[in-house]
Amino acid sequence: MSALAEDDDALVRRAREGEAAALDALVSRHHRAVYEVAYRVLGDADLAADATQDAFVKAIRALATFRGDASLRTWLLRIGLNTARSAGRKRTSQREVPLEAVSGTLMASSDLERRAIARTEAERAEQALATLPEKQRLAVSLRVHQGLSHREIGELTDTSEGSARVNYHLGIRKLRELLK
Amino acid sequence: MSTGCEFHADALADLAAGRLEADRAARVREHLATCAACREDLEVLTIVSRAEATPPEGLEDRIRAAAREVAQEGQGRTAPAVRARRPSRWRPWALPLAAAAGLATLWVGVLGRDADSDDRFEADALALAAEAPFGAWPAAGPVVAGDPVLSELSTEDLERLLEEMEP
Repeated sequence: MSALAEDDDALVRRAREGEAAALDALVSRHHRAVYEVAYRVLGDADLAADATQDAFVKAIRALATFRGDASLRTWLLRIGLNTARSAGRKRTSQREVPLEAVSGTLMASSDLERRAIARTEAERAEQALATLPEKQRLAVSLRVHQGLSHREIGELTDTSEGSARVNYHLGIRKLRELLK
Repeated sequence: MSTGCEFHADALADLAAGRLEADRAARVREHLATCAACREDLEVLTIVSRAEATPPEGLEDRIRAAAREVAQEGQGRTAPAVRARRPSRWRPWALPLAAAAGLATLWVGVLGRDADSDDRFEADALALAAEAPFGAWPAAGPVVAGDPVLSELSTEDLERLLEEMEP
């Protein structure tokens, strides 16, 4: 069975035994979502990258204590969220959301005009997302970009599933106004 | 919002992100053909989907190297603390709004609006919806839509509801 075909529980068991390939697979599978959380909290690509790495280091160190009460993904995202919030508190001043962070998000297209439009839309969405309160920002971005359920988002943000859903609705409602 | 939104609204995020299975996507698109509100939401979600935070080049390799190093050190100790949920401070005037939130919670896993939707149940729910117009949804049954309830609340009420849920 390939590492990618394995479920997280099997990968965790192998990673606990020190198997490097299992660690690699866990990182490959989850680093994008952890980065998304960190970026939405910090609004800075470099800080988010550092926080993502720190989160994985903490997670690997704590892997022996992972009990599986929550899914591995939720657990990792929670560590990422706490790490990013901690990094945010240490930051002395709030930096503006770097637009260049958006450049890597565009879908590949041979049509330059469509790419330019898509870039503009991505930038507008990026800026609009950055204006939302953190919980709404996370509720929308994790639902849309990472496919998390409202229940998972609630677990991650230490709120109920209902709260996560309300935050998502409020976020979409504000984005609709901002992106008109 | 037209009848049927309750079965498709949550799938719009997955459709916008290109995650929806073909048959489910086809059913959502059928609904979109008749629902301007959901088309508008899909337009917003499609724009938002283009703003995914993409890790910088090389980050994955950096993390892999750090993870291997940590694993080799054999350090394994404390797990991150998980904060307990804060108790809610419910007030009588908030009960109708709380009910809406509770109904919203019933939604997940019941109506098949998340990725792991149960098509058979969805078909049953759609059949029931056809029998009962939108305004006549049973108040305490399992087939109560969370998103439509929330969608019909004003922004002010949604914010007030959130204050009650997250004191």
